[in-house]
Formats: sequence, structure tokens, C-alpha cells
Amino acid sequence: MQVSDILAGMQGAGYICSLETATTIYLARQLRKPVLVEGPAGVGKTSLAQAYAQMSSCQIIRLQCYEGIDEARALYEWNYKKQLLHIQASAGRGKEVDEVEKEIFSPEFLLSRPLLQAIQSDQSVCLLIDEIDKVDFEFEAMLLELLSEFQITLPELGTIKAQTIPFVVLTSNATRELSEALKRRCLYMYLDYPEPAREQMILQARLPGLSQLLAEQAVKMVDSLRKMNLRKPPSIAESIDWAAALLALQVDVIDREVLTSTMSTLLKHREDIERSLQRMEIPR
Amino acid sequence: MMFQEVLDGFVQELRSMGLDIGPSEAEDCYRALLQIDWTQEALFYQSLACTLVKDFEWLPIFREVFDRFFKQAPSWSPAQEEEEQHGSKLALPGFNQGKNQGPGKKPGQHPGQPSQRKASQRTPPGKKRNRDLFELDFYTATYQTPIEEIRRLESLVPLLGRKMASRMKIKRRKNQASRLDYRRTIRRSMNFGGTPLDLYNQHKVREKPVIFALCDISWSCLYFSYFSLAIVHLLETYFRQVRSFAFIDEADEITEVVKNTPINRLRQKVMFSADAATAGSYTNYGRALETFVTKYGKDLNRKSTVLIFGDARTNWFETGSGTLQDIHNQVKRVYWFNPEPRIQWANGDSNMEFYARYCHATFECGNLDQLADAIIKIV
Repeated sequence: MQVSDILAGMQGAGYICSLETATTIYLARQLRKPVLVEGPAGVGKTSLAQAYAQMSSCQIIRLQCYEGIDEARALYEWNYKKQLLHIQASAGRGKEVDEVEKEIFSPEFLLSRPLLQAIQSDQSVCLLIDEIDKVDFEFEAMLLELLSEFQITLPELGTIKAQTIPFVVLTSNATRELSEALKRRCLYMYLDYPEPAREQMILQARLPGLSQLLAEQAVKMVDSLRKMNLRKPPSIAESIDWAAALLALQVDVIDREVLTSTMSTLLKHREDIERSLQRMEIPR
Repeated sequence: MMFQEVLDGFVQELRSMGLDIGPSEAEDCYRALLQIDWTQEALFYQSLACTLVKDFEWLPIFREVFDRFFKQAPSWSPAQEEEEQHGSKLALPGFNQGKNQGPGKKPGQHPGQPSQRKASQRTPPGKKRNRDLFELDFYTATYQTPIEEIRRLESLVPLLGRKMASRMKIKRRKNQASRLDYRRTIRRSMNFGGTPLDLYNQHKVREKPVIFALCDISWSCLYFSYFSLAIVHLLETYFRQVRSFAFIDEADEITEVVKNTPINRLRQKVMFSADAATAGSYTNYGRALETFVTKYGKDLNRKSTVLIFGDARTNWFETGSGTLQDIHNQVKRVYWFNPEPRIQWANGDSNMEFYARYCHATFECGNLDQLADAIIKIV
């Protein structure tokens, strides 16, 4: 699969990406390295992974990170209740202690969580580790083995190696700096708001009924909003929502009235809305 | 020119600009370049970028060095490219005019050429620049400091937020470690014939303090007040109840302003909106503390924590040590953050020595690092 194939494939999956993004995906496949994607909220970091999964028709396994996530939630956990029941059940049958112990630490009693699932899967998968910047340092360190060797070491079972190398995407909103060690193991990509031409393509791909003129006007206005130093500039998701609203209202041309009534789909702070309405020039 | 030499040169140049690039990144870059078609600039650029750059703050610097290195060379012809890529194995795209003519031989284009390098080092901050700023002294910086300096400091506030967030996270996790609640676990296990199927942990009861932050916004604390206000703003992320006050010679509540103003405009906004700012231009700690107690004293109780950000320079006015003592007796904790070095605390009109008696802890916050550390210590 060449870079151009990826570009076309992603487009087929409804994700219009730049040549740079396609190159990074291509390299990640070739070099078998995870991709770390950073950028403002709502520029399509998560949907990048989803589109990739759709393109290569593989399963997507998603690990949503949050503060305080631990190995038990991300990697594996022993099925504690089942183990206890098993011990009790075997107590009556006079089994040797060693034997019981061996039994209860077998894969049968293992609950695999997303990371282990991704490693164990016999088909190639896309592993999405979402919002990695929310986890603790310990957890980040735990990921290192997985990201560089594609293997996981469980104290009781030994090392489990991936049967097929998963395509790994990590996303981060850059709320904190990630460790050097983690970054070193990944290819890095910064996704920014798309240039107007590409955003227009995105809008038209998502909303087939949208006229060329309206899309162009909408994109221009969103672009000028992003330059305004607002508290929360509109993301791609929000500009799609807005365009959908315009479509639903059967608007032909955006004027001040339409803008005022639909602004709440674009901006989510009252202060932002007021300020932008004051400053906004309506392009004709 | 062997490709590897050029790549090394490129990496060296990036390093000299303050980018932190290790050998493994360079190796990745080399491997990446073997995979792609160099004739397309976007592909070539991105292969270098995604393997070498690991922080979006580096991207502008990278772009500049990239342009200087690869784009000033003469025409970019795919045919030659083809030949070189397959023929002599790994010549560099930008310098495809002569294989035996290294970039050093082209005047005006050599990346290491002194004049150019000098110019480029004035470009925006790499890591090291920021580091210096974090250690920049609030105390020595006065209102004579040029405005650009202040602007640069302001740009650091988001970084301060990030820094605090990551350290705060570690701290919070330590606090969260909970123990097994034996009693409840054993009790529950009775249902299952003494087998503890469900485990219960003890919940820690976390106290929710109400924070009262007082910021000196006078000239003498100009620099410091940018950050004390920013810190107060950041604290709101971590505590449910933060009330903020500004004073020069009278205390005035600015909670709403702090809540609704982005950090970079905070000081300006406070200066315009607070009553405190209009009254007079000399700090009067005595009156400030007095008015604070009369206006808001009824809200102070054993759950309150009072943070005071100021240099304790009384201008020989009433010191208000007694008032501070009253506050001290009413509330849970009083902390003082002073931008001056400890040595100065007993000098001249500084009343810090006496205030310190009625504080549970005092901190010397001469620079951003110290300020962030102090805040993390108390939460």
C-alpha cells in the first residue's frame, strides 16, 4: 500500500486527510511504530484511528484513558471471584495445593482488557489509546514494553508476544508533557485545524447536500473565528454541526440573522458568542 | 555527498537550536527515508518531521531549519532524483546538483554558516529559553523592565498550568492510596460462607477547603502579580471554592473577574475593575487587611485557608500585624508567598518578619519554579 493508496483509502472511509497525515500512517505501517497524535480538541484525532480501521477493515480496540487508570483496567486482571470459587470447589476433592494453584493462574481465569486483547488477537487490529495525557507516569512506563516490542509480560504467565503487529494510535490533547521514553517509541504527528480548502472538502464529504457556495462561505467564517483568540475556537466537529444546521434550515446564504441563531452550534461559551458576533464581518 | 552525513548535519543543526534529538530518532528517520518516494516534498518533509520532532512547540523551528537546509538548493528534478536514489544510493534531494559538491561549498547556503546561524538563534523559544524564564527573578524585574519581557513571561502561564497539572496529578495519586476495609469485607464475606468475594476499600474523607486568596497588585509586585493572579485562576481548577481578592490599599473581591477572564488578560482586567486599584498607588497592608476583615471577615471559619501573595513592603504605613493575628486565629491555615529573597525580609519597610509569626508557612517565590513548588506543597 503506497501513500496515495492510503490517501484514497482514508477518503473512502470518510476521512479526508492531508498528504502529511497519509505519509505518517504509511511510515507507521512500514516501520511498525505507533503514532502519537497531538492537536487541539476536535480536529479528528480519534476519528483518524476509526477511519484507519474502516479502511483496512480491521477491528478497532479502544482504550479510553482517564486519571487513575491502572493495569487492571487496561491490561489484564485475574478473575478473582472465579478463582475463589474454583478453590472452594476443589477443596472437597482432595487436590494437591500446587495443582490448584497452577490451575487458577491459567489463561482460563484471566480477564483480558483492551491492551491484552490487542496483543492476543490473531487478526491484525487497530489499537486506539485515547487521551494518553490523562494517565499517570507509572502507567505510561508500563506501556513502553507494549509500544516498542509489542509484547506484554505478565508475572504469572510469562511474556505474551503479539501474533500480528497491531496498528497503534495514541492521542493526546497536550494537557501535560509526555515522557521522553514514550515519545521516542512513537512517530509524532501534530494535527492542526485544516486549511480552508480541505475543510470545505470535509464538509462536502460529510454533508452531500451542501452547496458549493454555502460550504465555501461557512468555511471562511469558521476560519476567521479560529483566528479570533476565543476561549474555545470551533473544531471540525463543530463546523460540521453548524453546516448541518444550515442545511436543515435550508439556508442559501449566511447573513447576520442566520449566524446569530445558529452560533450556538459553533461556539460553546457565551462570552465567545457575544464577542465574535460583535467583530464578525459577514462576507458577501 | 553521502546521505547519512547530510542527515547528521541536519540533526546537529536542529540540536544546536535546542531541539532534543536522540540517536534512536535519527535512526528512525533514516529508516523512514528508505521507505518513501523522495521526489514529493510533502512526503520527504513529513518523514523527517514525524521521526525527529516530538513536540509541537518544536515544529516552527524544524520548519525553518528544513527550509534552510533543503529548499534553498536549485531545482528539484525527479529524473535526477531517480538516478541518484537508485544509482549512487542515497544522495540528498536538495543538493542534487553535484554529488561531489557538499553544501559547505555553496556560499550562502551552508547551514552552519555563521551569519545565518546567528540570525536563526534569535528565533522563538526552544526548551532552554523557557527554562531560563522559569528561573527569572520576579524581584529584580521591576516596572522598568521592557514590555516584551513581560509579554514573554505571560506566554509562559499556560506552561505553568501544564507543569502544575502534572505535578498535582502525582500528588493526588499518592493521597488516594486507600486501604482495605477489613470490617466491611469480612462482614460481606459472611454471605458467601466466609469467602471474601467482594473487596471494599476505605474511603478517605478529603477535606474541602475554602480558599481566600489575597493578591498585592501594586507596582512593586508588578511581575509577581501576573503570576499570583494566574495561580489563583489555576487553583479554581482544583478547588471548588476559591474566592480571590486584590489589594493595594483596600481589599476588594475579584472572584467573578478571575473566574471569567482568560489568564492573559487577567491583570489588566483586575486593574480596571477592582476598587482596590483606584484608591491609591501605595500599598497599605494595614488598611488592606483591615478592610478585608471588615468586609469579608464574617465568611472566615475553621475551614478557610488564606493565601497572601505580596512583598510585605508596608511603605511605613500601619502594618496590620494584629489583624493578621486575628485572621490566623479564625482560620485553618494562613500561607504567605513573598517574591523577595528571605534575606530581605527584615530589611527596610518589609514587615515580613512579623507577618511570618502569624502564618503557618511562608514561601520565598522568587521565580516561577519556586512559585509552582510552593503551591504544590500546600495543596
